[in-house]
Amino acid sequence: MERWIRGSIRGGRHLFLLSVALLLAVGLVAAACGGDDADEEPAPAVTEAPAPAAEPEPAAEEPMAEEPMAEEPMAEEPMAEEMMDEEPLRVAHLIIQASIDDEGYFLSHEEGVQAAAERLGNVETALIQFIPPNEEFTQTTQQVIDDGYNIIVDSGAAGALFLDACAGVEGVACLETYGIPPFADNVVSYYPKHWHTAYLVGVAAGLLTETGTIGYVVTFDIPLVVANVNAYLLGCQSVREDCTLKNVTINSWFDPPLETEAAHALVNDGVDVLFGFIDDATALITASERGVWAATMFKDLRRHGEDAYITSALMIWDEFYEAEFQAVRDGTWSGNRQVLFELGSGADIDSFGPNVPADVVEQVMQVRADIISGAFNPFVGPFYDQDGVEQVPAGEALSDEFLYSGWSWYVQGVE
Amino acid sequence: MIKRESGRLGRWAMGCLGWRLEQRTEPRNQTAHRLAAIVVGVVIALIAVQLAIGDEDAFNRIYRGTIGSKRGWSNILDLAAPLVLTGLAAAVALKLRRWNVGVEGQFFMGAFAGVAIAFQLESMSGAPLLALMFAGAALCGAAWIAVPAIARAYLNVNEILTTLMLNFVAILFLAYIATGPWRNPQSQGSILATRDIPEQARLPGVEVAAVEFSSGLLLGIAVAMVLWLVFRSTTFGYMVRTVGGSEQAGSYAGINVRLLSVAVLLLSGGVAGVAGVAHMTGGDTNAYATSLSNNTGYLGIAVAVLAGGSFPVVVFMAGVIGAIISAGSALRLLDVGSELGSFGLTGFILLMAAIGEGLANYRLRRERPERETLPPGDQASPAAAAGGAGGSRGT
Repeated sequence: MERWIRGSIRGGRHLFLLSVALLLAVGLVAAACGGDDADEEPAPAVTEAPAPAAEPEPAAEEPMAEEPMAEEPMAEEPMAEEMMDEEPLRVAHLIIQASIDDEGYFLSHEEGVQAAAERLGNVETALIQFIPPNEEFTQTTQQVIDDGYNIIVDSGAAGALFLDACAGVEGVACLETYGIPPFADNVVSYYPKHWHTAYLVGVAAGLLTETGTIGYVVTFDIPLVVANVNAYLLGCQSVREDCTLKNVTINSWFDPPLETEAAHALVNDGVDVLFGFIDDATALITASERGVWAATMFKDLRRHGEDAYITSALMIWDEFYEAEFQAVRDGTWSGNRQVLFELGSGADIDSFGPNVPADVVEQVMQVRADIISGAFNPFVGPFYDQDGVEQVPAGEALSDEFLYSGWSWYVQGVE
Repeated sequence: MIKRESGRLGRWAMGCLGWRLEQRTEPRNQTAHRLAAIVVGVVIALIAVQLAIGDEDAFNRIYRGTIGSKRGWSNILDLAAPLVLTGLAAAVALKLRRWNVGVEGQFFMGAFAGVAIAFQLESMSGAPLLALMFAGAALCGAAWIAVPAIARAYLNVNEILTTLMLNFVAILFLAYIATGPWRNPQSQGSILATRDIPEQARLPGVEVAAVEFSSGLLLGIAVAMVLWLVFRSTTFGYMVRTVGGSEQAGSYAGINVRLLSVAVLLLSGGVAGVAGVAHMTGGDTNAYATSLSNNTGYLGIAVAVLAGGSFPVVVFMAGVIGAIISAGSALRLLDVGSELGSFGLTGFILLMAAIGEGLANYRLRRERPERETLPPGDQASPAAAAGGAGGSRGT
């Protein structure tokens, strides 16, 4: 007996050691999973909510969480009862490379999706994050389609990686943020007119700056960002002719350490207002530390430095999502469209920070009202490039198409 | 220094428990250990998935997303195709015990050479254009590792650091090129990309048994065969094996170790460059773009290590990693993708492989004095019996 035990143990020694390793590893995993669960609770990742938003909203401090989110109040409405019998509308929100924990751009989208789902009722939403920006994105899109989702939202403008799988698939509505035409029959592209909000931020910056030099953290030198930079500087120049802009390109959409470094470099260089096409509050935090002004983007981030906060160039998506979801449910939805959100609906600025003087607020709000009413168009030539060469003659208005994806040169005053 | 200290600490800890590691005079069968490691790693990962999600659908999803459907197979093979070549690139360097951590950068520079040649000679017809693109990519990949290779051979500068640093340079170079005149106006959001290469410079997909996959996979297998033959049957290969075994022995045998080291690293970079252009011409992304790489260069190193530096095994391991990524992709819809799916699985398997490697080269032995304190033939303690058995076998 003893020999048998010894023999079998001897023969299976490696097996024995491997299983010890296995047990250890399982223990580790179990421990890690326990930890994960605890971590995940405050920041819910997926919102598989058959009843609209059965889970808490991602950002609990946002007003959306205040709304009652139970199924019962919906069922009381006559419409809702009817809808409960129907198949739920299934919406998948795909996020390339990032997550809603950026507290900025992608969170603004998810909040829009959730708000729309809540208002419509009987909408099932799924959030899929951190999808690698390569063929895996296409494969994931394919799987989402196979899973029977009716609407797929690509908030990260994955372009071909998304459309290769989604475009042309019958019965699936592909919502592609910042798409570039042409579009397939089941693709809708949408984006706010961010140049208007950037212009308004620029006006505020021009009124607040003492040095006359404003700063911008550039993510990538692409037309989307170039238009934003130019609009910001033009806004500044509209109230202060000698206004110039310094920028630092960081070649990333989300890199807080690099953003912070860039912001500090700009302040060291004499900049006293910071802005940027960045997802998070790094510019605002730096501004607060360094005693200069900052405006943020996408969401109200004032809690990171209220004293330095000017405003935020908001992007608001819920109305668009609600209209699209409703149209899909009604069967009236069609693709091959491009939707640009006007200033005041979808694109807007946030309420101003407490330290912004009242006359500045008043002046900016006046410009805002004039743009909305159509009385004033800030994007009428002449425009000169960085070398002072006239690129747009006097009196010529820039088209939406150009502002959307065609502006590849910086205006005069960008250093 | 730190490593030695921790080693001492580990030995001390094990000594307290009455065990010690002893190097085997003859290593066990490493391939078997690696295979066992992969199986154990996958099992653990699946248990972890079950613990974390508790969704019955999870396994079904993994199955359907990998080997359970034609599309799954096609995804695996597409993901494996570039990994075969990057794995080979890393494996070439490993033959001389060099670590080419810069495969990612060379991969991108290879794609750059390809796209540059394709744009300059846009009117050229397919075959000669492709030949030029591949040649250019090999040269460009080799050029990208030239400085680290020379610095390693002649100045003894650690190639791990220099090759790694150049990856970041390559990515910045890509950002520069892809926002410049070759910029693709259709792609401005999350992906930086040049416009697509002309139609005739693309390799058609291959279809076997209704499973479509990138033709880069066939190229990878061909390169693996060529490399295997070269390293097995030529003087060059013999020199590499000699120097890889012991640099001093090689030097004593009259081999120019420095020159050989440079040549091997250049070859490694060249293969990585070919990987880049092959993935660009044969894969989904037909442009010089950030979306070209799925950490392909870095995963290539993992592939090469798991394959123990063996070229034929690299092909297989690339498939394994491709399957793992696919499984992670399938789980993403249950929102576990990034954490447990891909990284978790790869991590587990690498951990298990390291343990497997340890077990192949070392064995655990019960410390002698402990054994002597036990009464002979103590049946009540199987652990002691195992230790005793191991010990008696060793002596």
